[in-house]
Amino acid sequence: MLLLQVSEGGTFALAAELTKRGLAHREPVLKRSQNGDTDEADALFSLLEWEESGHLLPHALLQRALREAGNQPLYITHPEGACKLMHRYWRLSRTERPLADYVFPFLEANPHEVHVLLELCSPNASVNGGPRYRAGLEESTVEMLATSLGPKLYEMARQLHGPEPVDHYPGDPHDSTPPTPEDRLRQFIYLYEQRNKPSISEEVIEE
Amino acid sequence: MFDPGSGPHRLTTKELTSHQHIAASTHFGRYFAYTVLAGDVSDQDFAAYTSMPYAEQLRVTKGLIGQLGMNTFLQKISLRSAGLDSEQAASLWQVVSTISPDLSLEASGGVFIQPNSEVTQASLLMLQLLGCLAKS
Repeated sequence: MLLLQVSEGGTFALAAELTKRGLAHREPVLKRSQNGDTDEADALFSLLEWEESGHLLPHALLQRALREAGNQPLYITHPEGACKLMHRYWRLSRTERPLADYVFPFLEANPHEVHVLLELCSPNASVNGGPRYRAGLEESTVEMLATSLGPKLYEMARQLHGPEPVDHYPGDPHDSTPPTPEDRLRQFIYLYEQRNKPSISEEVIEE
Repeated sequence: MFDPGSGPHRLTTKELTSHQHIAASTHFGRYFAYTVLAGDVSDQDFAAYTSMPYAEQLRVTKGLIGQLGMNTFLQKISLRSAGLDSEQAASLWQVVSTISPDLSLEASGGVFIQPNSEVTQASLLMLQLLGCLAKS
């Protein structure tokens, strides 16, 4: 099947870009077909293939990455694409195995790799077109991690950090230098705890 | 060359190049030279390249990239993609796959793929080539 060639397109970086572009190309094609508007230029694949591509493309790329990773975690072997593979393509590919079942055995064997995982999932930033770096964690990133991995990542982060309270966001999220691994860990703990705090309106209702 | 009905301001870069228009950056210099410029490859030679068998294509690819630069090399294939048959498209797909370790992710190095990187350009070209395969 032509679609599956996408995941074997040369280097992993090229295959990942090809998958991303293929998925981006898919959305307008499906939208136009829903409106009864078919364009010859869209006929890269049949409509059925386009519909299937939503999970087949991520699935094929994820399988390639897992095959290449062997006994190592994706966040070590494929750092440039690990976040998207684990938090987006894992879900899109309809993989039955929960992501947590894959990730936590690696993290339990090497708890300090929590720092690696948090850094790879941090947003990219650049100042005035300068070199890119991994900025501080944002609420949306913590939400993504909590949704994909559940509370266990927070528990591991807490074990690494210790019981001291984290009562403010360490550093400035708009700072032009990347946070230290320790600050990023504290950012995660702070934002996770804020996320789980009841809102003011909920507190009023409980009272 | 200067058809008033289709002035260069009305045409896309792709159309300018495919019409071999003087306003196309790939052809501008040629209108002022008696030969193909040093560092360029004639359209006939490039058309012959796209028709070569895979093994021969692969043999001359490095030389072409060295002569044209990666961006122009990928652009020249892309501009011809509409006229490729499935065999030519499959062969060029393999060529781009094979040279992919040489594709840069961004201009200034690093791990983030930039929007106009060679990897992005190659991936868009490969989608075009898949289109040629799908239509056959």
